[in-house]
Amino acid sequence: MQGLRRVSIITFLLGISSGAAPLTAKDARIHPVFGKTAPESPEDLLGIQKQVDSVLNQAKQATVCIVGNGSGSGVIVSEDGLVLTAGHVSGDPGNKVQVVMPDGTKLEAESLGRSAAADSGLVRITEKKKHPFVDIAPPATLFRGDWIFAIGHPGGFDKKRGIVLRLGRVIHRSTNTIQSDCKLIGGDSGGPLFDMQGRVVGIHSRVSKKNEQNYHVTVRAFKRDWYRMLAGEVVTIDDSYATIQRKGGFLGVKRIPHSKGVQITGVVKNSPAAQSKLRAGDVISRIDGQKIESLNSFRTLINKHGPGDKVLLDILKRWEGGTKKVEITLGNRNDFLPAKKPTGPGQ
Amino acid sequence: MINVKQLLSFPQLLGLLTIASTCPSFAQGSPDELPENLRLNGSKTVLAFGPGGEAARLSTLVIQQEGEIVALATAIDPDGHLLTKSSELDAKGKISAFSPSGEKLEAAILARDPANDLALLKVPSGKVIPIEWGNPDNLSQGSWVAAMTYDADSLMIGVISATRREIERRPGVLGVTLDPNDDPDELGVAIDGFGPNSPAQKQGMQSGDLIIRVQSTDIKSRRELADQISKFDPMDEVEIKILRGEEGIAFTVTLNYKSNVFDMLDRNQQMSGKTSRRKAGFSDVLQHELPLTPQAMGGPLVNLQGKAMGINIARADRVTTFALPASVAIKIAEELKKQR
Repeated sequence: MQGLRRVSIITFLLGISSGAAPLTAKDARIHPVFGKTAPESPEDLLGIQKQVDSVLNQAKQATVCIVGNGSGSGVIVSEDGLVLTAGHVSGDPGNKVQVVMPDGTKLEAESLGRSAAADSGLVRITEKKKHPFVDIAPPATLFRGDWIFAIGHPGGFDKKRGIVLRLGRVIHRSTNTIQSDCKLIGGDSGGPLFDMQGRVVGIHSRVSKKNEQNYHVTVRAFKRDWYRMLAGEVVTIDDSYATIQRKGGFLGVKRIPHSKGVQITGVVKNSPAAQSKLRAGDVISRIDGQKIESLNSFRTLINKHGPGDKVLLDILKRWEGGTKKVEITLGNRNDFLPAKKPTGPGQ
Repeated sequence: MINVKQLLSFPQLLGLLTIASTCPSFAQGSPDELPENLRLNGSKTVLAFGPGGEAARLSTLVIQQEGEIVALATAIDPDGHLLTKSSELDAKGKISAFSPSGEKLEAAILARDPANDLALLKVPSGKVIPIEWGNPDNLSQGSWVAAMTYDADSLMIGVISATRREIERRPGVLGVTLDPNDDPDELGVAIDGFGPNSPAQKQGMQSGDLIIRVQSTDIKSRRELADQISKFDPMDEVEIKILRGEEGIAFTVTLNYKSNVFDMLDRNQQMSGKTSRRKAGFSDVLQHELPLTPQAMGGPLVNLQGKAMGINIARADRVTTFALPASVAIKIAEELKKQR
């Protein structure tokens, strides 16, 4: 029961299974530039500008300045005032900090936990009222080359200047970190990185010398340490990776998006997928009769089931041709993918 | 606004947005990285700006003084009038302007406007293509803009990043801390210590030195010293007389920004690379994110239609470049032409 309840809380707070579809050019409302490797015309650039403009105002309303150990930034992600920020901004759990809203209103707040491994941190506004907030993007919905924008309070709060915008693309993404060319500086720390739908995809953390070396903590890293941070713990590099609890059943396929579902690009040895003779190139179009709309819906549909549960897959066979229904008994992830030992950042 | 003193009392502040010296998980040029030509300022992305970018290129000139590129300039009429950033030009020294076709033109300074840091230059008529002005009132945060890099070799693109506003003048500082127990009726104020990047210390002043005169004004109290020094701007040279024991010594100190000497922006300066020497004290600026170098100031900032929204006037930090709006530039240009 405990497990189930936790999953539903994650869904609420992190919006993992929010129905929002990823932004693709197939959607008629979306400008064709988002289907291109690079913009090709002023019209394409204007398409990006308009998309940002459509979500910028809401993004700014939820973006705050955090004054405690100096001045950083943060973003409110729930109506009751939970704030994502960088671990080096929230500081020690239990610290009293001040959250400054875009209009200058100062609210009392308290730092919760943080991760020293990922530089993620949580702060809770203690004043009870309804706060403006933004959604967090589901993990693994951000890819290299995606257009994104960064906002924050570089150099500290400045009412006349307001929140500062930077536009860019994802240069690299790993589990913990996004690299972008959205230029950051001191004071931006903890501020939000948004996708083109106005969902938080990262939190500003650090920079190197070059304009294209700006690093953000992924929402994935937040999700991993979520409950420990909520409980006010400091997660160290050593215990961050070791105890990931994965509750969903395990199929054992690597996959990419496909117009008819998800396409398999690799199969884990001896996994349920391998035993059922799924192969790279095959497309999984349905799970238990439900159509797969995206990588994310695939993940959600699989994760409804635990180890030992049976699922019915519709497979478009790449090599043999035709469609096949395959019933597969899911395995236990930990039998196939032992928890990774840390090789964490800074080592 | 954040209280600077409050900031100073928190050394942890310097840890904010740390500079990663190396980032092992991101090998440079790794195949996993987005190719350079596809990034915000990659060659392919920049091409999308189209004719608007070409308009910027055609009206931008490179200003050289003694063989060094010091600024860009904006051609504003076919008679050969150019606007550029005044504080980057030395009072003496021959000025050359290079046209987009690479032609070297003799340039003369006709007049300067210290308030907005603009200078009006003149090159032979018929040699330049004037920029078309647009209306920056139509810009909003997120509007695309572009300008040429310092050697006018390529275009840089980005967006309007913050609210148009006044950037208050920031007075210069000596970079000294003073003895709080100083007697305000006695001549002189004792130096107690120095900021981390103190221009006074650089010139050889020492703790315990008694500052007795600024220019021609005698100094009795800390208040008087602050009042005298804050009349000057960063980069101004100020004559300071001190007493060390019995000996009187005269120094010429080049003042600096308080932020460069003392507070968190010092760290931010490190992240920023080179910034403009004059970067504050403007009555009206647009703020954008183009990562231009200080020598790239003075050129036009154009919108997607190639209309000049303003003239780049200061590189302030890693995330901030200021431009004087077109309306200001046009008005100052007219005034400077009349001064002639």
